[in-house]
Amino acid sequence: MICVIKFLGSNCYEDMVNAYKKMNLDCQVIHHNDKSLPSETKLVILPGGFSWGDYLRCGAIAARSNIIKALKKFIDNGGVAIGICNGFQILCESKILPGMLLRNKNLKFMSMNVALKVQNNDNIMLCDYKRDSIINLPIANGDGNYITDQKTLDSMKENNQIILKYTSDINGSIEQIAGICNKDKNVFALMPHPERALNIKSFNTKFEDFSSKNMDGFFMLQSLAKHAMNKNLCL
Amino acid sequence: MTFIADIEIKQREGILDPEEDTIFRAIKHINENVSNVQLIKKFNIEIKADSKDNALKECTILVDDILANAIIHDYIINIQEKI
Repeated sequence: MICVIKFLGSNCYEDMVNAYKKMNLDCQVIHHNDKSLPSETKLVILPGGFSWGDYLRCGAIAARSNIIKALKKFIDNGGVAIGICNGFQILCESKILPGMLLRNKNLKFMSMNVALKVQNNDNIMLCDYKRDSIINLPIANGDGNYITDQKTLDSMKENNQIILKYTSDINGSIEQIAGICNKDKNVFALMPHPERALNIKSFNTKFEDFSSKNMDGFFMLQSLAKHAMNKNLCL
Repeated sequence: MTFIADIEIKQREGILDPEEDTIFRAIKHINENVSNVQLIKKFNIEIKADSKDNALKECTILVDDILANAIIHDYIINIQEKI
């Protein structure tokens, strides 16, 4: 079963549920106050949004919620998790992933389609993509400027933990990083939204703006679920 | 005993805060003599503890755990007994 965690202020959980329901997968929304994940959980998703209004720092309050403690246990047992946008910020704030996300360098909320380069594909999320291939995904964030210290960055490079990069410097992110994973490659995070633009109705048919290219996100969600479902976890 | 903790949290040196930078540029527009601006977040916390040392210990845990992020922040805690 796929669990999508709903925090106060999450607003992308329904897109996520819809995306997986289209793939005929069992997907359930879990409340942030729950102290444990259902025993049949195979994949956990931290969706985008503005948990607790992004007060204090983005994701800082959500990172201290009950469900994150359960998530840490799940991850330690080899469970697969992904954080998208605000989910990325929550994973960094809860120290499950290294680094953190600052305000975009232009101080603007950025909502647009961006080109991304697949930096590493030796992981269960991007194994269906070719290394160095360019994919298109929508972003919508005010705090997507990834930062980490040089030592951590070097070790991330060494372990192929940098998985997606922007093709240009759009928000000040160190080395144009858009997505990362942990050392064990079972926790993933990215600022762009692969779950968006999976509905044909969201494609622009009036004029060619390449919005249909955003379908690229489908394959990473599919591959992640496929591999996560095949894992046998003892919870 | 009740103590009052003045907690100041600021961006670490060398880490660019785009907000701070934008405010600096705006201020410089008004007064050219301004050479630097620092944006500091201040919390005022009332805490019960049996000594000043313990109050400081408790506050340090709070700041490390949630109020500041060690990757980008430095902080100063000042403790005084509430009169």
